[in-house]
Order: sequence, then C-alpha cells, then structure tokens
Amino acid sequence: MKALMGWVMLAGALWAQPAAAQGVDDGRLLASGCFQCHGTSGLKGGFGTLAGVEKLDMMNKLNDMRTKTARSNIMNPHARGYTTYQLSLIADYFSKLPKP
Amino acid sequence: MMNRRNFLDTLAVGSLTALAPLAVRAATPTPKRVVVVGGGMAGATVAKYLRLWSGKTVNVTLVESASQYTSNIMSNLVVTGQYSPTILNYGYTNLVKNYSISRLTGTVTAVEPGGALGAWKVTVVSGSTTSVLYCERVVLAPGVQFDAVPSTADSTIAAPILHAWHAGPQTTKLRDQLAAMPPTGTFVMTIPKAPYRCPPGPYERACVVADYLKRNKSGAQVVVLDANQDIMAEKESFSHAFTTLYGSNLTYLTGRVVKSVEAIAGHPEGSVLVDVVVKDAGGNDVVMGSETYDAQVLNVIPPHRAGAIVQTLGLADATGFAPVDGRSFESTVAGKAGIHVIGDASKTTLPKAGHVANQGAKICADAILRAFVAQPPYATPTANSACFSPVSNTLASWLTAVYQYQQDPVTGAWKYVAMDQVSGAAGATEAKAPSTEQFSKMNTWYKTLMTETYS
Repeated sequence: MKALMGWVMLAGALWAQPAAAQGVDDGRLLASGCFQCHGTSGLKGGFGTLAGVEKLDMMNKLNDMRTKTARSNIMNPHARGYTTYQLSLIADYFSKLPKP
Repeated sequence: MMNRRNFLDTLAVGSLTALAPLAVRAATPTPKRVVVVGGGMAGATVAKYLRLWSGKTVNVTLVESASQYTSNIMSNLVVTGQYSPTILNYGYTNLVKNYSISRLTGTVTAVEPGGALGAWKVTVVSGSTTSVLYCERVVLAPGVQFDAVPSTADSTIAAPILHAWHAGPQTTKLRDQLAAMPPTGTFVMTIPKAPYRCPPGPYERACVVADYLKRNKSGAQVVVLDANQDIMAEKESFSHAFTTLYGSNLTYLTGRVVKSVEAIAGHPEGSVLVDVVVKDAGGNDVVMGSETYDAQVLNVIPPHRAGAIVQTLGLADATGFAPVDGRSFESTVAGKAGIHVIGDASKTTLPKAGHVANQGAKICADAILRAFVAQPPYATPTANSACFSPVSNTLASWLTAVYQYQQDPVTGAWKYVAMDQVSGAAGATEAKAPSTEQFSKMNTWYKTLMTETYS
C-alpha cells in the first residue's frame, strides 16, 4: 500500500511537470477544495481568509491539526486527509495569492 | 472556415513535439466553447470556474429551465418551519454579472455531433423557441429524477408521492402538512437504498421532524422506514439521537423496502406497503414478509437516478447513473468523449451532496481547461465533504472526509477513497457530539458554500 501511494504521488509529480509549463497550477485544484468554507480563492469565506497566508504559518497550523483527534474539530480530519506533499502544494498556492 | 477539429488535432501534435509556446495557442481563431446543462450546485460551479480559471477566455453558456436555484441543503429546516423558504433561493444574476456567463433559459433535448461547426451540437427548447448551440465540450449537471412508486390498489398506476427531496414547492407543502397534522398523528418517512442524494439527509429530516413534533405535538410519532440495513451516514450521531433525544417519539426500522403506496394527490395521509428484508449469511436479500404503515403525513423518498438528459443520451449504466473518468468527470461511454457528467447524476464513489458536487465541478473545470491546452487531467485529484446536519432546532453535527483519487491495489480500478492519511483509518469522520456551536457554524458553512457557488 505504501509503495502504491508512493507511485501515486510520483505519478502526480510527473503530470505536474507539463501542466506547470502551461501555467496550470496543480496546487490550485487541490486548494480549491478549501474554497467551499474559506471562500473563492481563499477570500471572503465565513471560516477565515487563506489568501496571502505565509506558507510556513499554514503548514505549521495544518501539521498541528494532524496531531489532534479527528473528531474534536472539523478541520482536523481535513488536515489528516491530505498527504503532507498535498498540504505543501495547497499552502504554497495560498501563500502566492495577494493578501486582501 | 477552418475545420475546428483538424485545427485542434494539429495543435495537439504540435504541442507534443515542440511544446508550442502560449502565443501560438492564443492565436486560436475562435474561443473554446462549453455548454453547461443544469444550474444546481455542480452546474453553477463548473460554469463559474471555467470562466474564472480561464481568465474569461472560454465561452460558457449555462442552460437551466428554472429562473433560480432552490437549495436542498437546509431545506429540512424549512420543512419544520424554523427557516423561511427564501433562504433556499439563489439566482443566476451574480454569476452572469461577475463572470460574463451566457445564460439561456430552456431545456436541453438533444446533444449530437456538431460536424464542422463544433464537436457537439446542443438543442435547447424554451417554450415555442428552439435554439442550437455548438461547442467543444458539454457538461451535464441535471441532478436526479425520482422513480415512480406503484399504487397499492393498481400497480400499473403511479401513486402520488410527496418526497420533498428536490427542494421547492414540495418542501413548503410538506411543511404545511406537518403543521396541520393532528396532535396524535404519525409522520411516516421512507428512505431508499443507497446511493441517494445526501447520505445523512433523511436521518437529519427524521431528527428535526421528531424535534418539531416533540415541541409542538407531544402525542405525535415519527416512523422511519429505511430500505438500507443500517444508518448510511453519521451512524453514531443519528443512532444516539434516535434512542435518546427522540427515544419516546421516533421508531427507526431497517430493511423496509417500499413496494407500493396508497394515497390521494394533495392529501397528506396515506399508507405504505413495505417488504421486510434481511441479509442472509451470503449477503443476499431475503424477504421475511411485508408490513403496512398508516400515516397522517406520508413522506416517501423514492429511489432516484440521473436526470432525464443523461438517460436520453444513453450515458447512464444499469445503476441509473453516469459512469465517468474520476479525473475529469468525462463520460466513459463509447462515442461520448467531450461530454462530462457532474454532480448527483454521475456515478463515482463520492457521496451525492452539494458540497461535494461543488468540488467535482472544479475538478471537471480544471480538466477541461487542461484539455483545451492539450494536457491530460490532473492524475490524482482530491475532493472533500464537509457537511453539517441539524439534529434539532439548536443542535448540529458534522460529517467530513477527504477523498483521494487512487488505484485499488487489488482490482486495479481507480476511485475516490476516503482515508485518514495519519492513522490509515478508512471512511468519513463524524463530530464527537452534536452541539449548539456546530449549529451556528452550520449557518456560516451554508452561506459560504452558497456564495462560493452562486457569486
């Protein structure tokens, strides 16, 4: 299973190459899963703005949520549901958006 | 006029061999065109993101017969009278204004190969007017339709059903029937076999109706007849609510499959005949007998299937839903390349629900935009479900999952799988317990989700 996950991640990285060359950001699609609660492009959401948040800050918060019990807060299972690689792509995407 | 498909083929070959720079692609004579059919959660989102993420370079027409969307999310609290039906209404004005989406009021009756004018030709009927749209891609988001339920007296006749599972006039009708129910009446609701729209939804309705009756008609009862063998979502929250909060006025029964209904159109009362079904050791259904339940208010949620246009175009399989490639939501039916089916009409392992439909639509939009620059879809997309459910007029629970598109190590099939990446535990996560704080967050979640989808 671990080996398979590695493959899946590798496959993702390989696809990312040509897509990035075309200006399509893989982080954008992953991060778009946050928009339902945090607003389109991380703006004007009812649960806090993500646009322009420093990558390290967001990764620290997400990593902290990963250590907590899933059922105690709705964000914990979200942080625990992505791989750290995916979380870094998401944090990278939001960090590059202008702060409102 | 240059043949569009030939041009695209040439472009694709060029990109592969020489990685043609963006400027060459920008010289495409006419913009790419997408027709989106259906303006629910999925359709509205895909229309928005095709425009937003293409920098408004892709032309999008949104075809929908209704003048506004009526949200299924939160509609159970309209049934109990707690919220006004107006909170469910979302128009298309903001989408049209903010993203310059072309809006066409009408019903799509045909999607055929478009020849030299475009990959697909979409026929739209509006009253006595028929119009034709040509496009490179079609996205179908028709939602679901409900199966007919036979009448007990004559099985060749469909019984009148009030499901209120597609929000709108039926929602307020059920609200009015509930309000007018005798103080010692019985509210009977039936749940179809999965997959159905909104896995926690029927249990949520059972809870908020039981709560309403407890507070307003203390002699009344709720009977829940579930065709499934267990609670399909948030099992702990709902079974706890059924046995504690509503232990005195709610009866929950599994393995009750609706056979027929006796009712008169417009009348709240009726009776429902069910088969009592259990699973044998081999997992097969065994019918143990049948039962009849009389109701002062009868709320039957029939089994459903993908909306009519999906059936008309032969995009559904035997399950009634449309098999799609999970990376793009493009139909996997032969000869239907370039037609995508999103939302509740599609057949994936994702739950049929508004929050998830919004994300599936973004996956679809991203894949279409990549296809327009001759790129494959993102190989391993993710979707998530974050859904709050009221269990009373002040308490709410939540259910959440992150779905990874991955290959099954045993079968080799690609599908969306929910898993906790830290613990390795499979499946969705539910809140520890319902709370008033979560009820307040539910309202915020609803408003944010609807704003993200409709503006």
